[in-house]
Amino acid sequence: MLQYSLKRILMMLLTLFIVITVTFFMMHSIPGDPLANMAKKLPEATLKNYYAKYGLDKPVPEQYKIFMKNLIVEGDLGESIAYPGRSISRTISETAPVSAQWGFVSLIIGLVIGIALGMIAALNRNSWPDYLVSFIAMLGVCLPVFTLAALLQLVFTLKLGWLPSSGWGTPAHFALPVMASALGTVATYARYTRSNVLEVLNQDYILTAEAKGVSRGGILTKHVMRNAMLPLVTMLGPRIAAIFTGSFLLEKMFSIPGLGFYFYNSVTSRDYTMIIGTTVFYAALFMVANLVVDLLYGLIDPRIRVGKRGL
Amino acid sequence: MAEKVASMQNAAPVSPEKFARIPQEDKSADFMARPKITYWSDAWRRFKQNKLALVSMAILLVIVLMVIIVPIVSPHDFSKGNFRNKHAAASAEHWFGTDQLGRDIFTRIFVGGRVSIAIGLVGALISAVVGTIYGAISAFAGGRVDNLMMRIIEILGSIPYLLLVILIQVYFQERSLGTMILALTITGWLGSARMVRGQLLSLKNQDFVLAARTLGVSSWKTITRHLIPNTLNIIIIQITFDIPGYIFSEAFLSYLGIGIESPMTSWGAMASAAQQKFLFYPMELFYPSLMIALTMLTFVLMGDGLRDALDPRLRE
Amino acid sequence: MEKQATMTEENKTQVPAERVLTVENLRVSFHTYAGEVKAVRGVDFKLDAGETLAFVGESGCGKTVTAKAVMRLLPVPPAEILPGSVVNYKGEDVLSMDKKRLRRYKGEDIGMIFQDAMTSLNPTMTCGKQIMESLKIHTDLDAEGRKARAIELLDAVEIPEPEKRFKQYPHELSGGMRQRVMIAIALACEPTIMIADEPTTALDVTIQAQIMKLLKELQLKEHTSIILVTHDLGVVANFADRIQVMYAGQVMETGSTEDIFKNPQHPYTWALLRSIPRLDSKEKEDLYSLGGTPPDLILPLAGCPFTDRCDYAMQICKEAMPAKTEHGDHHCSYCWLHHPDAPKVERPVGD
Repeated sequence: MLQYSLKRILMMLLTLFIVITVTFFMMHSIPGDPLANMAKKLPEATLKNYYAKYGLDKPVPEQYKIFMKNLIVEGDLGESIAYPGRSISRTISETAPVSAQWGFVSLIIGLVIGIALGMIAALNRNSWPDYLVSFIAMLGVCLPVFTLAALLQLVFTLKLGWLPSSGWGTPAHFALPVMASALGTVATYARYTRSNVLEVLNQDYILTAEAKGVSRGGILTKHVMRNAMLPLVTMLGPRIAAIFTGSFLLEKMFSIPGLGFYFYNSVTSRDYTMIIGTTVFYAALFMVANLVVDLLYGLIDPRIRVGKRGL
Repeated sequence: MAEKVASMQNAAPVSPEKFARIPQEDKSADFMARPKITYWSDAWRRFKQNKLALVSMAILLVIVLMVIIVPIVSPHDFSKGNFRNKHAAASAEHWFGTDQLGRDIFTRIFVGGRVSIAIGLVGALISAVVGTIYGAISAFAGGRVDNLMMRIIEILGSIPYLLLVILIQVYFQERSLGTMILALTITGWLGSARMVRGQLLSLKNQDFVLAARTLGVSSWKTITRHLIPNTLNIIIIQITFDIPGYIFSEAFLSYLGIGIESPMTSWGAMASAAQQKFLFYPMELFYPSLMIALTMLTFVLMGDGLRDALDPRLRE
Repeated sequence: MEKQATMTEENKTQVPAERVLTVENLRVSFHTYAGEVKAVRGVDFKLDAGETLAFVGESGCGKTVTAKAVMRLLPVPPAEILPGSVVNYKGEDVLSMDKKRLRRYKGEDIGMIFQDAMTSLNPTMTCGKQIMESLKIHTDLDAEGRKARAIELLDAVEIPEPEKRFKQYPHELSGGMRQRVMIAIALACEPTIMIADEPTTALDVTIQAQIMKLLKELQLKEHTSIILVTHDLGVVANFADRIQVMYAGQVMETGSTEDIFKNPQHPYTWALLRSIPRLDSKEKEDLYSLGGTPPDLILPLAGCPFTDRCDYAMQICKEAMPAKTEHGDHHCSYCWLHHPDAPKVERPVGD
């Protein structure tokens, strides 16, 4: 297990290194340069300063060396081009917790509701609760998150006036973005839980339990739940990624000062250093999330815990 | 089963000709009572039973036809608008009204649909082809090559596609259909490759393939006769689930403002434009959203139907 | 009243065996999209305490469905036990038992051992827990007592190091070991009847023999009745007291093991017997193999279901189901060859 974890961590670092390197060189092999847009407006001398400031006057391999050195030694991702003076690392460390807060709440709510709905659907297969859950899940799968967010604003803010349409600071501000992003989680988990539960119910060991005289409730809690829930853990990684990706839109729409909001701005204002910095951060985050989820799965599934895991 | 109660010893007499032996050849006469069903006709029969999937397919066909025809026959130019007629409500002339530049939304919906659906179809097809080839090579090479190829997939899979999209757009200095498809497919084929590899690996060890091999059937024939038909079903299922995935990704990127470039449009781009004033003109957001949702829904339902119809494990 | 007579006769030599299970005219259908599959079509049998009855037949002949119906383990729907069927456990109607009684019936009165211990054990629960689960439901032992009993059971099924195995998961055990755990689970509450559904099919031949020997020993110790479901007449020979040969959801022939092996009466039994490899065969002969496949149970069957594959098939076999023929105590078969007017044929097997 320890050896496996170490191997996975090394693999992850290697991948991260490749991602950063490729990103860096692609960004710097653009015809023209990241400052090209600004260059038209600024006087020659200021421009020269700028180039020196971002190290753009040096050859690309040299820039790469400096970038990597700063990143590894100081965890420094450089400075924003659109907003000179703004440190990218600091922006991330200040805004990411905001995203993490509501993202976590949305994930937990989505998981609980999704799993519960999936169970209900599986146990009432082909009757109205099943169809209702299918409908909700379909809605979550098919409705673009921006449409859902817009609809929620329309209903809860404009028509009912219950919740603030945007902003940050009070618990009420959580409500709409959490609802908008949790539906996706609910949909994914309801669908998977349903099919997993149905699959487990068909397993031979359920018959064994029945032959022992275990009650229906006992079969559900002791045999079905655990076996149906285990595979759901592996889906946490992609789900966390999806919540972060969704945050690009939702934080913009609901004016939440999280990392997604800044990322959106950096994309629209062509802030290249910021784009590199944040995507590298996101890439690292996804990888860590996937790694943690995989290791967690290894811990809770006895079949993997003891046996060797083949990749 | 009433006869069972009676005993043979005191059974009623039976006329002797009834005890005539049935000739051996005749015995199999009643055998093929149920017609033999081939895999594909059986799958089609099952698919037809799924009414939701059938209706979805019909709606989808209508959408595709409209996307092809409407921009051709429409009297309005999708890219030119009338500034004096901005945000017009639905009318006989503009069925869905006009947008912030006074352009006909009905026409734009179906022009945008071309981009959205094209990205979905082409993206899914490229993914399927690349994924199948990669997965097949990996499965058949085995050993170290397989290991290396799977590692490459792992690495590619952990790169956020958003990063790739931005990189590629920056690199090519344009945001066209081509760069969008390229950016989305770079990591889009990984899932197909994994699935094809898994399927082939399990097929490779199955009896009928081993039998073919020991009988001296050439590798190429084994592949074309046995492996491809048995992998085709999962590829088809994968494609139907990939298409809405691509459409969604495109909508998402367009909404972020890094999708297709104006004057060309897509459903995501239209929604993005409408979002700024959606509290006043909600219908402008409604139409493209509806199209995205409807297309997604029909593809997902059809995919579900196909999966149930094609998955041999569910065969009775 | 004939029964009584037999009983008194047996009385002279041994204690009368208690009748534990009576099944009459059991009919089970599965409702599928293609139509009603009549999987079991009127099966009768009786089981006495301490007796071993074997259901023998090809796969799909309804033997497993019969066993599961007796234990009320069939999923309803799609399965349906048709009205008119009788399953009687020690004078109690099993088919009308309520939920509470049924839970006690399963596990306490009847235990079941399944074919594939790998898939029949919960992969995420330790072996000990799976045994204790049964004890928790059916006994009032406390946690300590349950653990002690579970280890005792593991020991009884001859698993070495029972304390260690107690804490292990099924995937950590070998196939034979897993089947022993299954037996321990079924035995946990000392059921009156044990149903063993192909208990050794998934195992190596040597392990097969060990498991069968273990079952026999346990049966003698606990005086359990066993219903053994198998397709393998070879397994049955040394194990069962009586054999019920089944085909297409119907009984073809029933008799003591000796009757079936020495004096078989039904062409299907002959076919089964001829396909067992024998070491003592005098001349080199090819092993008999029965051609064709069993009939489709969705289609209506007018006559004997075996007609299509029977070497002795006659015109009447196609038209009507033969009645029962008694060949002696508890030995009977269903075949038109036994009709007084039927042509006499020479039996290819038996002595």
